[in-house]
Amino acid sequence: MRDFTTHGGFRVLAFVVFIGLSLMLTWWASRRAQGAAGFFVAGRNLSAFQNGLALSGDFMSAASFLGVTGLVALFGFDGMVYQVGFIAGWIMIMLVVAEPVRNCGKYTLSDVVALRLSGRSVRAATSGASLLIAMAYLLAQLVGAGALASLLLPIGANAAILLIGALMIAYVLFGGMVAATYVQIVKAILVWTAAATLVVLALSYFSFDLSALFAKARAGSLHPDKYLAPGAYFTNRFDAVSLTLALALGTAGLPHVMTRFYTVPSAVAARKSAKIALVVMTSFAVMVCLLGFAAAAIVGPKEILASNRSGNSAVTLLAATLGGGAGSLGGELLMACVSAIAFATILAVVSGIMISSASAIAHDIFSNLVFAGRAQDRKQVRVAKIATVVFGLLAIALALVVKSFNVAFLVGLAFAIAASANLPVILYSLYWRRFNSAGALACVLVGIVSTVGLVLVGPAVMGPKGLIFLTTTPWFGLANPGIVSIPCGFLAGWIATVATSANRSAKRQSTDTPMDTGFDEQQLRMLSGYGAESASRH
Amino acid sequence: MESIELIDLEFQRLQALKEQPQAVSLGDLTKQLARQRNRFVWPLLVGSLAVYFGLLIAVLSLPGWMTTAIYGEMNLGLLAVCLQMALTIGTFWLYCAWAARRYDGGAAALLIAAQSAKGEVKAEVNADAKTEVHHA
Repeated sequence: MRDFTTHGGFRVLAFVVFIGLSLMLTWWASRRAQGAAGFFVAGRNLSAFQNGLALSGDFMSAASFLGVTGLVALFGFDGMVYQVGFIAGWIMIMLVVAEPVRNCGKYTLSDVVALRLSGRSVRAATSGASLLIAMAYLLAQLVGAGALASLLLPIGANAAILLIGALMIAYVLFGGMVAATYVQIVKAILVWTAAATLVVLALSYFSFDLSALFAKARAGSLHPDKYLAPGAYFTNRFDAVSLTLALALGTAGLPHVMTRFYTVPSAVAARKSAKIALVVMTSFAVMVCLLGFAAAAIVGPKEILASNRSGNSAVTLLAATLGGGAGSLGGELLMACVSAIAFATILAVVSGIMISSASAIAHDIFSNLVFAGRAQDRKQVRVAKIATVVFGLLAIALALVVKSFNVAFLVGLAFAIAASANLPVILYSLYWRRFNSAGALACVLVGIVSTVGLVLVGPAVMGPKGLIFLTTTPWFGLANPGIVSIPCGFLAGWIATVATSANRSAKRQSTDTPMDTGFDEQQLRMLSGYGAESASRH
Repeated sequence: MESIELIDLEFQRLQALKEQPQAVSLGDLTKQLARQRNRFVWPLLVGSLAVYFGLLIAVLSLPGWMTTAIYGEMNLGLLAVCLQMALTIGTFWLYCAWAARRYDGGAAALLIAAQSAKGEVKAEVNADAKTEVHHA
C-alpha cells in the first residue's frame, strides 16, 4: 500500500477512472451526434444550464486552476489581477456578442460575418484567423500538459502529449460537440467541487479567519511589502494593461467559446447560459485566489518554488498538505484527485478547441470555399472527422517539437489575435451599416500581422528572456502586444471601409444601383431570431 | 362589473391604436428595436469597461495607495479587485433585468411581425405585436 501511494498509484488510478468515464460519455454521445448540426453544435439541443457549465469549463482551464493559483501563491496581488482579466472578458461577450452571434451564425464565427459579407476572401481570412488562434491555444495547452506530467503523474512529457492528443482526437472524432460538451460539463463540476473542498479545508485550517490567512501568507512570502499590493509580478504597468486588454476583449473573439452559443436553441437560452457561466466562473475565480493565498500560507513559497519554478504545483502541494502531508493516505488521495482533475481540465479544453477547428475546416474551408456551399451534411461531417485527425496530429507533432521551449506566450498570443483580428470583424459586421469586405479583410490581416509581428520582436521571443537572439535587446518592449495591435485592427477596418465605400457610393450614384439590404436583414435576424438556425429534432 | 374609468381607459387605448398608421414597415420596427437596444447596451458596455480599466490603471499607477488598510489585512488594492469582479456581475445582472423587462417582448413581437410578413419588406403587422414594440 505504501508503495502504491508513494509512487503515484492513486494519481494514475484517478486518471484512469476519468479517462474511462470520459470514453463512456463519448460512446454515449456518438449515438446522439447525428448529422452536421449534431456533430458541430450538438443539434442546438443543449439546455442553458448545460451550456453554462460547459462555457464555465472553458474558463476553468489548467492555466486558471494551476497557473493562477501558483501566481497568487508566489506574487500575491498581481496574480489576482491576471484572474480578473479573464472575467472582464465576459462583459463584452454578454452585452454585445453572445445573443447576436447565436442568432446570426450557424456553425462557426465566419458564418456571422458571411451573413452580410459573402465574399470568399472574407470567409477565408476569418476562418484562417480562427485556425491560427486554435493552433496557438492548442500548442500552449499540449506543451503545458507535457510539463505538468512530470509534476502530477509518473509519465514523461512526450507520453503526456501523445495521450492527451490521442484522447482529444477520439472525443471529437466519435462524439463531436456532444462528447466535447459533456466532457467539459463533467470536468467543470469536478474542478469546481475540488476547488470548493480545498477552500473549505484551507479556511478551516485558520478557523475560518480570512485575516489570519492573509496575514500568514504575507508574512511568509518572498516580498512581504509588495505581496498584497501591485508590483511583485507586473514590473511594467503598460505590459499589464496590454495583457488585460487582450484578455478582456479577446475572450469575445475566441472561436471555441463563441461556438458554444450555437449549441442552445435560442438567443435567450444563450443569455441564460452566459449568466450561469458567469456565476460559476466568478465563484471559481474567488476560490482560486483564496487557494493561492492558502498555498502561500500553508505550504510556503520556498517549497512551491523548489517543486516548480513557475508555481504550477502550488495547488497539488496544498492538497497533499491539507490531506495530511505527502506520503500519507489522505494527502496522496487528495493530491491524486487534484492531479487527475488538472489533467481532465486540459483534456476538456483541448477537445473544445478541436471541435471548433474541425468546424472551421469542414464548414468554412471545405463546404463554403471549395464546394461553394453545395456540400451535403454527411460530406461535411466526414471532412470534419478527417480534419480532426489531421489537425490534431499536426498539433501533437508541433507540441513534441517545441515542448522544451517556454511557449506560455502562445496563450496571450491567441487572446491578442482574437481581440485584434476577430473582434473588430464581429463588432463591425454586427453593428456598422457601412462595413464592407475590404474592411473585414483589413481587420483580419492587420490584426494578425501586427500581433504576430510584435510578439516575434518582443521579449517573449527575442532577447535574454526569449527564445532567439538571446544577447540582443527586443525591438518591442512589451511581451503582450494588445495595447498596440487591438487599435491597429479596429483602425485598419475603419480606414479600409471608409476609403472603399466612398468609391462605391460614387459608383452607385452614377449607375443608380439600389441600396444593399444585407445589413437590415442581418439586424432583423440578430434582434428577433427570424431566420436563425433552429434546434434539430432527434 | 367594470368601472367607468376602466372602460374609458380601454376606449382611449383603442382610439390611440386607430390613430396610428396601420402599415408599419418591418424595417422601421427593426430599426426602432435596434436603436432601443443600442441606447442601453453600448453606454453600459463602455461605462463598465471604463470603470474596470480605470480601477486597473489606478491600481497599477498608485501601488503605494493600494496598501492603505481598510479592515484587517483588507486594503484598497484588494477592494479594487473585488469591485472589478462585482462590476462584471452587476453589469450582467443589470442587462438581464433590462432585457427581460424592456427588450425580450419587443424581440418576440418583431419575430411575429417578420413571420407574418413572410419575406415582404412592407408588412401589415398585427396590433398586438406593434404595441409590444412601441411599449418595449
